This record gives sequence, C-alpha cells and structure tokens, in this order.
Amino acid sequence: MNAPAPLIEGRGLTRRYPLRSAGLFGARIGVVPAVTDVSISVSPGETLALVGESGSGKSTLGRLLGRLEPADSGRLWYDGAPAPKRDRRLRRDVQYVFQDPDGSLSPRLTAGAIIAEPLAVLGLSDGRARAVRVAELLAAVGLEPAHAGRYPHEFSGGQRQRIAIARALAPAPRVIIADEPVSALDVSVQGQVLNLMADLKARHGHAYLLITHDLAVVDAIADRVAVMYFGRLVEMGPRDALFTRPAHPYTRALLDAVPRIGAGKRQPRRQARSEPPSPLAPPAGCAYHPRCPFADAICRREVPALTPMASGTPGHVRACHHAGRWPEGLGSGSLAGAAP
Amino acid sequence: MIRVIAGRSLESLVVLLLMSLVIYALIGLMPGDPIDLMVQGDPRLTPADAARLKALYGLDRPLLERYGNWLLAALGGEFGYSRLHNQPALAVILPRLGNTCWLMGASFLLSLAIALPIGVWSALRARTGADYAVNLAALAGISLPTFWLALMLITLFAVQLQWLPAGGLQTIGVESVADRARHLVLPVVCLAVTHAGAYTRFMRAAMVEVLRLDFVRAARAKGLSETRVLFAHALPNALAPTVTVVALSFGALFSGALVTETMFAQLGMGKLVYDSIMGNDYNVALVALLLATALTLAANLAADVLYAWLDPRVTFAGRTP
Amino acid sequence: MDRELDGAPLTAPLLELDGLTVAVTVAGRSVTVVDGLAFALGTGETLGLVGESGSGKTMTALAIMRLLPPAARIAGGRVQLAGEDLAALDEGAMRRRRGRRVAMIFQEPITALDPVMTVGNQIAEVLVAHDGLTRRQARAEAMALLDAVGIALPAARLDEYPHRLSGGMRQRIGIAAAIAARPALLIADEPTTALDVTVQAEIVDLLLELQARLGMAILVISHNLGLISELADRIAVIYAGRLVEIGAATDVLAAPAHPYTRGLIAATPRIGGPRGRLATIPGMVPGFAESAVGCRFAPRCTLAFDRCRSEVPALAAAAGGRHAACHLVAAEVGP
Repeated sequence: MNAPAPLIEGRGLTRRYPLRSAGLFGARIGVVPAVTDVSISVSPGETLALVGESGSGKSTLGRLLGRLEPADSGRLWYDGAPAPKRDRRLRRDVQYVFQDPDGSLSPRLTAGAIIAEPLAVLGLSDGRARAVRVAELLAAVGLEPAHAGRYPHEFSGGQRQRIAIARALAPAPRVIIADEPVSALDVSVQGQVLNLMADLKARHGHAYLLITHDLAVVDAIADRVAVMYFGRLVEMGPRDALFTRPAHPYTRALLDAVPRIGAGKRQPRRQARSEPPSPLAPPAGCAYHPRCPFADAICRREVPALTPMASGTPGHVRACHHAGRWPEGLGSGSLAGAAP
Repeated sequence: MIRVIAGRSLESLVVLLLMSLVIYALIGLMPGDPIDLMVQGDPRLTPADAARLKALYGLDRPLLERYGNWLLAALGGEFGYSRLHNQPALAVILPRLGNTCWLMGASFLLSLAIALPIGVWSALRARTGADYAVNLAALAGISLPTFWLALMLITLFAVQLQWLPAGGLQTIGVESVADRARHLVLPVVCLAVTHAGAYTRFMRAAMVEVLRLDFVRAARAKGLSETRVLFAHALPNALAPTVTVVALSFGALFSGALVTETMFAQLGMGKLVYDSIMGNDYNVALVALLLATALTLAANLAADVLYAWLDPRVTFAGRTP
Repeated sequence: MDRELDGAPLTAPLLELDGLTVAVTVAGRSVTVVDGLAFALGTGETLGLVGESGSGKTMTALAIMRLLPPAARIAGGRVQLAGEDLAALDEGAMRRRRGRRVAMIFQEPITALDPVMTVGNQIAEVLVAHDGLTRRQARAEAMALLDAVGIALPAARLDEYPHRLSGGMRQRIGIAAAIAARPALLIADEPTTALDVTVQAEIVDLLLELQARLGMAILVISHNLGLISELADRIAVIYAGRLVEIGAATDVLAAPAHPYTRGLIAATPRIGGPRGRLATIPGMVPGFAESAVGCRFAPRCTLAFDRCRSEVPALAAAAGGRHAACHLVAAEVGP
C-alpha cells in the first residue's frame, strides 16, 4: 500500500456498555455492544465520513478514536506508534465539534472564553497572546473580534457552530472529529458551515472524521466513507466507488432511501419492513441478515469479515458473504448522477 | 417484580444496619453517659465506683465492641431498658409509635387531599391571578412556623370557640373513638397545613411541566374532550414525579410531628426522642431514631414501587431509553 | 379568494387559507409570525409546505388545528375547511372537528405519544370520542388500524407502552391514531425528521399508500425538500411567515421562480449533486422581531433592488403556472 501513514488508527476497537438494574447493588443484567472489533484509520488531511443510523455506534467510535472514552479492547495508534493511556498529544491534536452547539457551549462563558479554554488547558499560550489568537480564530470562522465578549445565547445556531469550530481549531489540531456538525442547522445555513469546514481544511491541512447520517452531505465533502451497522463496519471505501458501486446490501438500502429532489411524487413500493435489531438480543451471524433480502444460512451463522473487492477500487472493502453475487438490478441501481 | 421488591427491601435493611451504627456512634459521642449522671446525682460514689460500674455495664469497652453487643441483643429482640421510664425500651416506644402513626397518617392524607386538587387546578390557570393566589397561600403554608400555627389553632378553636380540646390524647376517663378523634383534629390540621403548601407546589409544577408536552397537544389534536386530556393523559403523567417528591419529604413530616406533638401535648415519637436525648435515655433514643429511619426508608421504597406502577417506562431494572 | 393568483389545486378545494395571520405575544409585544397566508388544498391532494426554522410553518399547522400555544392567536383571516371557517367555530365545535375532519401527526414520535398509556388505548380513544364505539369495539378497530399501518403482530402490540417500540413504529402508531376517525385532511408536521433514513422511506410509503386507499388530503410540512418532493403534488414555500412561491411540485423544484426557492434548492446537498463548495444563501433566517418593511428575503437576496426594500411583493403568476411573490417575477411576466 502506498497510502500515507495513518494519523489515527484503531485496531480491533470494541466498546460495550453494561446495563445495570437500578439500586445500590444493581446487578449487571446485560451488555450493549456499541462498537465491535472495528479497525479504521484516518490519514493526514483526508475527510473520512462515518455514516450509519442511530444506534449504529458511529458516535461511540468517534469518541474511541479521540480517546474521549477508553475502548474495552483493541488498540489505538497515533502517528505510527501505540498511543499511551494519557496522551497529551492526542488531547491537543484531536478536537471535537458536536451536533448540538447549545449543549456543548457553556452558557456562562463568553465566546472568547470558550475559544480560549483549550489554549489555557493545554498551556499553549498565555494572557495577551491568547487574546490575539482568539481574535484570529474568530476571524477564521467568519465572526467579528467584537463577538468575543458575547454569550452563546446571543448567537444564531449557525454562529454557535462557528464558535464550536473555532474552539476545536484553537490548539491547531491535526484531526477534527465532527459529530453531526450541521444536522441542527437550517438548510440555507448548513452549506455555509460545511464550506467553512472545507476552507479551514484547505488552509490548515487537518483531517476530518465526519460523523453523520446525511449521505448527501457525505457525497458533497468526503474523500472516503465508512458505513457502520450495529457496531461493525460493513463497508468502507473511496467516496466515488462506494456511492456508485455499493457492495453491501445495507449501503445500498441507505442510498436507496435518500429522497431524490424533483424526481416527482413517489409510487409507493412494497418493501420488507423491519426494524433494527435490539442491542440486548443481537442477531447471530451478520447483524443485517434479518433485514437483508439476500440472507441465507451462512449469513445467519457467521459474521462476515471485511474483505477487499475482487475487482474493485483499491481500499474498497465490505463485510458481506454474498457481495458481488447479489443481482445487480435490485434497488434503484446507479445512484450518483441520478438527480438533475 | 416480587423478587425485585424483596431485593430492594434487603437493600433498605442494609442501609438501616449502617444507620444503626451511625446513630449508635453519634449517641456514644455525646458528652456524659448514664454512669456520669449517677455519679453527679449521688456524691457518695467515688471515681473508683464509677469505673467499676462502667466495667459492669461494659461502658469501658471500645465503641465498636459495645455496638456489636447491642446489635446481637437487638437481633434477639432485646432493646434494653429505659432509664427514665424503668420499662423495657420497646414497651415505652410502641404506644407512642402508634400515636405518631395516627397523627402522621391522617395529616398526610389530609394534606394530599388538599394539595393534589388545588395543585392541578392551579396548574390549569398557570400565570393567572388565581394561580398566583394559590402560590401565595402555599408559600404561607410552608413558611408559617408550626408552633405559631398551633397556638393560633388552640386560641381560636379551643379557647375562643371551645369546639375542640386544646391538647392531650383523650379526655381522662373517657374511652371512645370519637373522643380520640376529637383530640386528633387540631394537631392533624396543623401538621397538614404546613405540608399541604409544599405538596401543592410539587403537584402544580409537575402538572405545568406535563401540560407543555407534545402528547398533550397530540391528545387535543385527536379531538378528545378537555376532561379526558387532563385526567386520562396529563394527570397520570404528573402524578409519578409528585409521588416521588412527596415520599422523599416523609422525613420532614416526622420532624414536623415533633413540634406538633409538643404543642398539643400528644404523647408521640417526636416528644419521646427529644426527651430521651435530653435525658440521656440511650436505649430509647436509639430505637426511636432507628424506627424513624425505617419509616423513611419504607416511604422511599413505597415511592419506588408506586412510581414503577404509575410509569411503565420505569422498571426496577432501570429506565429504558 | 382570487383563484388566478393562488396556484389553484387540481381538485375541488378542501382547505382554503384566506389571509391567515398568526400573532405571538413576546414580552408584551405582538409579533406577526404568519402574515396573510393564502393557499388552497384540493380533496385527496398533497400540498407540501416548505420552510426553514422560524418560517411559521408549524404555527400555520397549529392555527388550522386551533391548537396554538397560549401566547399565540389567530389575528386575522379565515381557515375554510369544506366550506366552514374553522377560525370562527366555538371551542366545542372545533373539538368535534379535530381528529374527525382534520387530524395531525407530529415531528417527534417519541414525545407525541403518552408514555403511560398503552398504544391500543391511544388509538381506541379516538374511536370512542368520535364514533361512539364501546371500548371493546374500539379495541378491535384499533387492532385493525395497527395492521393497516403495517405493524406486525397487532394483537400483541395493542397492550405495549410506547417506550417499548422503535421510533418508526411509534410514528406508525401516531398515524394510526390520526386516521382512526377517517379525517378528510391529515396535517403531517415534519413526520420523518426524527427518524433514520431507511425508516423515513417506509413512513413516506405508508402515507402514500394510506392516501391512495382512504383518499384523504395531506398537508405535509417540512424543511426537507427531498421528503416534500416525494410526497407532494404541489408545493408552497414560505419564508418568514409569508408565502413566496406556490405551484406544481415538479415545476417548482425544476424551475423555481423565487430567488429564495432557488437558493434553498441549490443549498440542499444531494447525492450526485455538485461537489466541493456547496451553494449557500448568505446571512441567516430573520427573527420575527426584525422589522418587516418590503420583501422579507431582500436582505439575503443577491438580486434585491430598491423596490424590494420598500414594497412587499404580491403573489404574481410566473411562467409554467407557478406563482411567486417577487418584484422580478412580476416585472418579467408583466401586468
């Protein structure tokens, strides 16, 4: 492989949440697998999109990759070496932007104080220099220096997300993990924030791990895409390959479900209605098999491994026992370029 | 369900055990023990006598060892002797406990009967004059000193109007339920008024909160009558949190009972705890305090069970997302 | 109402809004959040009401239902449903229309269901209220409705509480309760926004299927052009409380006449759409407190000229049977 050495790499990351009964001596009544045996890496300067539906484990994986929480098993590598338990570099070089700027910005701090906070915590800067840096950062995200003295509630949703981005940018990180950064914003403002993220990357060269459910956003800005289902990676590859030749039935279902604007009122189609599996009773074998039209005995028995495509784009992998063998005509077929 | 309730009861017992140690230790830390009192009261006792007596009663042993001995005896149903009453501690406490339970139970029910309807009524008129008036009245109920309210009640109903007795459990020489009940009226009202204020505010707050929720609007969108929206949807949702807060405030009811019992000369637990602590009647104080703790724990357990019954999302296995 | 200026429905009108105005009292001041809205919805037709946050789209829905929050009120206009002005009905009469003539489903299926009542009872109570069924009859009917909205094993689900069901199933329950009394109009306020993509598609299918079967009209309200595109026959776009464009869905989406509609469509990311920089609309959605002289979109409009800032544009016919409230459109077509 001549791909650049990965910046962050998770190897076999697994995270389970224990479910306890209430009370002082609450017994462990079950384990909810959030992330199971995921190996994934983020390369310098790339935008990797992590997509999946609610409960797929994408946010948990995002927190594991930045060590916001520890993995139960598996290892985290940073910059070509295993990352120690408390890695100052990791804390500085990996920053987060969350979906809900209302919840992630302290209402009692001014925008300036919010942006300066990571600088102070990491000891990167002091007093006067910090004020200069805050002004720089505000300008970088398209806000005025005068905004430093205002409180979060005085800003619009889009502006608050700009403040969150400025805060993430403050310690000059190498990766920004953005968890649904525009989901709470109006459509007309979403583009502004996504464009800003792209501009900042062009200038500073950091990588993005973009966690989102919105495939249209992914198509617009991601270089690579990883699809998660029920805690596991089911498909990963370069954007074009994955969007034009989805190799996992779940990826295809996701793409099919995205509404096409201007394609006219839809004819109701009959489709298998099914619900995602319960985390307390995970299906055996491939977790997607209860919803999959191609599932057979082996799918119900064995968890498929993530393997490269025989004749695919390099780096395009999928975890399906039947990939390449299911009928091509199924679903809406070619997806990129379907819209006007 | 039964199994989980049994489990939670076991938890409560463990807490009770820990509390017994804490209470025992605290009483042990108070200055003066019974022998010191004897020495003070009888100048003929020498320090050597005192030391001998302490050894005899085991008072020279370390605290933990004394606690262990007490616990062993207590588990065998032996709670020691009351110093002030020259009776077994339980024989002193149990009749008082009965009196207090009557007072607390009746005033608890009365305060709920006042507070729940008024709280709901007030929530339906949130931020109107009527709501503010209720709020003010509730605040007055909360902030009225119990002793003052008791005095006012006695002055008005016992002295001026002479409708009800001013205090005591019963008229001497009269043995009738009606007589006992007449004696209970003023203390029950007094204790109920001071708690109804807080309960009204809990009920109102919970109801206001629920009335803002989507499903209330959804219920109206179905074309249901306002009565059904309120009593089939809003109220059941508002009751669950109210029940919890009310049950947690049960301890406050107990301490309120202390003042009320004193003012109305009721022989109850409150007065007993006070007297026994002031009089260094350790065995009685210890058991009485433990019973109070057990009562509070039982109220909390009852709240949990009631909450799980009122809100299907809450099980003893924790809240499901 | 002037049908020529309205972007008229294809079928006999069922719902006609005529100058609907909703005002909210904020800090003692009355603020207009829906400003003279006028459009019509035909029997069995689907109209998509598109708008961003603060456009007044939810207030419009609540005004039709007469379920506005206490601080808001209908300040003017009429809400004609089958020839009867809902805005003028007394509360008792309106209550009998709700659920029966016009029903509503909500954005958050999690909070729109009563958490402490079984789903069967939440559906059955509609039938008891409107059709006078006994509890037993209503329960049987509720089971049939669960089946109709695609819930497997309806008998077993009747006695479930909402928290035991997934988001998609809860929305199906909401739909079952809404259609129970066979309303002529269903208002769906962001019916899929809180759901996963694959579940969204299933709910769209369900709504289309039920409409085909029951013949009800649907007013679907969303910020999501994709959803509107898949459901709606016609589209009405509102911005800051005012109608800016209305017309057949395919026409409006293919060739939007109003600069705001154009901007909104261009800014919506889509699969296979342009890559790299996304189109944006500069500025942000205005707050209601801001003054409303001239076109409300003028401050964000790249084509705005002096007249836009002083005079409110009227709805004018544009090419292709669409109508838009824009001075440029009016100038183009001519008087």
